[in-house]
Amino acid sequence: MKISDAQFDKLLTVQSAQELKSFLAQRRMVPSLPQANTLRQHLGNLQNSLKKIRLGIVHTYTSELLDPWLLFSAALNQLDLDIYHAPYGVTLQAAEANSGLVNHSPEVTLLLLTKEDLHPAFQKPPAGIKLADRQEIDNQFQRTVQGLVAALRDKLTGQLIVTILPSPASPGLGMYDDMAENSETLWWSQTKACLANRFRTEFSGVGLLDLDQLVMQIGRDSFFDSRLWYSSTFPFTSQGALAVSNAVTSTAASLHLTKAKVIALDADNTLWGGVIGEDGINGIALGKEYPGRAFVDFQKRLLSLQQRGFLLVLCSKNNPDDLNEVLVDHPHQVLKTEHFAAQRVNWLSKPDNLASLAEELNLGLDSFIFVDDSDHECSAVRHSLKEVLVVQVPSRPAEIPGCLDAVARLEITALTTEDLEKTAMYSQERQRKSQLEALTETGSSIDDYLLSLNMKMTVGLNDLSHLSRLSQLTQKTNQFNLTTRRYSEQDLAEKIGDENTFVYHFSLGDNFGDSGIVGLAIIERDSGEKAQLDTFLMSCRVIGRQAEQAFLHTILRDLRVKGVEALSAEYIPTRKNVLVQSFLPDNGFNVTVDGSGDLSLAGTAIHTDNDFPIIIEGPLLQ
Amino acid sequence: MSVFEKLQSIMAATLEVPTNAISESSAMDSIEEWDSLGHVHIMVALEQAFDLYMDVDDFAKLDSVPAILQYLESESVS
Repeated sequence: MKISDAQFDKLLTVQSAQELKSFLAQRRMVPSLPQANTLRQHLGNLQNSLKKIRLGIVHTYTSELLDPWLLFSAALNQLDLDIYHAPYGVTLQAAEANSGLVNHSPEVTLLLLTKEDLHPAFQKPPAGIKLADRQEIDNQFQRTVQGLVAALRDKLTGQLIVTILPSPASPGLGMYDDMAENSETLWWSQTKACLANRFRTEFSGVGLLDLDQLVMQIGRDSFFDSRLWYSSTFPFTSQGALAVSNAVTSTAASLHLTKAKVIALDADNTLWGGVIGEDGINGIALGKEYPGRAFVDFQKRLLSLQQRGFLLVLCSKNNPDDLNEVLVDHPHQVLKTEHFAAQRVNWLSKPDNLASLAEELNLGLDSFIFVDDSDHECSAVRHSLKEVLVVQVPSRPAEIPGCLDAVARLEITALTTEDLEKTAMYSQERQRKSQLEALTETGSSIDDYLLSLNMKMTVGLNDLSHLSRLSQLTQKTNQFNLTTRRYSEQDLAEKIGDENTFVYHFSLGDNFGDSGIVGLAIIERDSGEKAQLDTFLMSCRVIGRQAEQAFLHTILRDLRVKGVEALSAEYIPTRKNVLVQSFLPDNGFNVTVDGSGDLSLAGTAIHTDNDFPIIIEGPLLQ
Repeated sequence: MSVFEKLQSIMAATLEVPTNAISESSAMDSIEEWDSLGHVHIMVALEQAFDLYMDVDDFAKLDSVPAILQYLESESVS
């Protein structure tokens, strides 16, 4: 929808990028180019500290015309882009040392490619290609893409986003294409699936951005502009350019802004229509009719976000019994008790409840997204907890299911096993807590409790198969983290490949379940006998179980076997890592005033397994 | 607001120059930001702001404010 002058004046009064973004998305508004530029300037005046991201673009069609849309979309995501366009064409020159692209050292590199440029067979209508020849063409096509991506991957450290321009015309066989044995659409979707699979398994930090998804979202006629294509070799309408830009900046935002981890949900008029305390279980809107079906759909979307790795928590002002009745007994309630990692259902203030949820989950408030319909609650949270992202549920039920679609921090670039099992892990943690409480009541000590868990730690070294989880740990861990150095998958792959760098990780299992990989340490060896502890971190999920000491001592033992005699370590204080302030001195490091210290391995009594309530396993220890 | 004033504000926002940088006699060679990319942006902006669907052949002809004003008049834009 176009934005009228009157609507535009109203947009110029919004006070935050998120508010503007939600508004545009919900009302399906597409600004004109001058409107987009003006809105970007308005946002620039509102936000003083935008995160700067260097974007590199490799392209075989005019990419410079995307700039105003990329910049506008970046501003909506609280980013500021520094864009570099490589010289026109797919050549490997862009990947040479000292090329303009390499010197720009982009944090995100966008590849705008066309099928025609990647394989000459696509310069003719594909329906004319014999089925028997397709395999060979496909192989060559994929090798070309792979070669280009590998060359760039080798020289660039940031995320690569690969796009291949869909055909602006409908298939050569017209409407019959879907039925045809030599269907073009089917062939193309298989090719894309193969490419995506290669990117996922053979590279790190490379993603396929499927432009066909965007075409599906807004329609082919709204996506492509044939006049600009023929006259300027620029394929997109403004709406298309904005859709591409949004996909790119969302990826940048999900990689470079603080990771969102928790979606804190209000209940009345958010998960269902109406107020449970007044309307009762049979009176709330949730079911097969309007408006209840919109709320059912919203709950389904929330469930997919949970499957994407986000924790759902309840933060509502209700009588716990009323709310529980809906969770347990309402026939159309999608989100059940087990889907919530934690709950605060009481009459305390929402900011207080959010703070206590953050404490229970051991997560920072800046990883919270708060979702509520009430003006009052939203502004209370905005006001007292500035680090929480507030999304106000729209008042029109039909707009509710999509209200989180435009939140870039809910996009992910990888999905790990730990993400999928996160909620279960938090519920195991609650069971551990009740076991601890039960034991404490009978007068047992904390050591008895730890022993009763039957913990088993598995320590691994230089394992490329866990790259995405290891990188995720460096990106997400803020509290138990000595140096808070963030590494991309690519960075870690390089470290693992380097013979003087040791990348250790561990996972921890017990009677209640397996934590997945929760700890990471990186050791850089300078000379034969000396080494630096570059990174030592642990997920807060396993704090308080002596896992950090057991992990450190397993590493020290292994380093000693490798001939390392002295280990120096740094503590880089941040606003969030006070927790590890005394970790180095507590573990025998001689610490100077700045918090850094050295440990002589020869002179230190290194613990054995029996000193910890944990059985340590893993390939290192054989 | 006259058609020129509207055009002026659209062009200024599109090229990201001050409004008074666009005069009734401005042309592609008199404004630095009005280069070949800027020109495509102006064409897109004109279509969006005045509800037009322009012909590619017109793009090259509309290289000055007088030419654009004349075109808008011929399209009965007021």
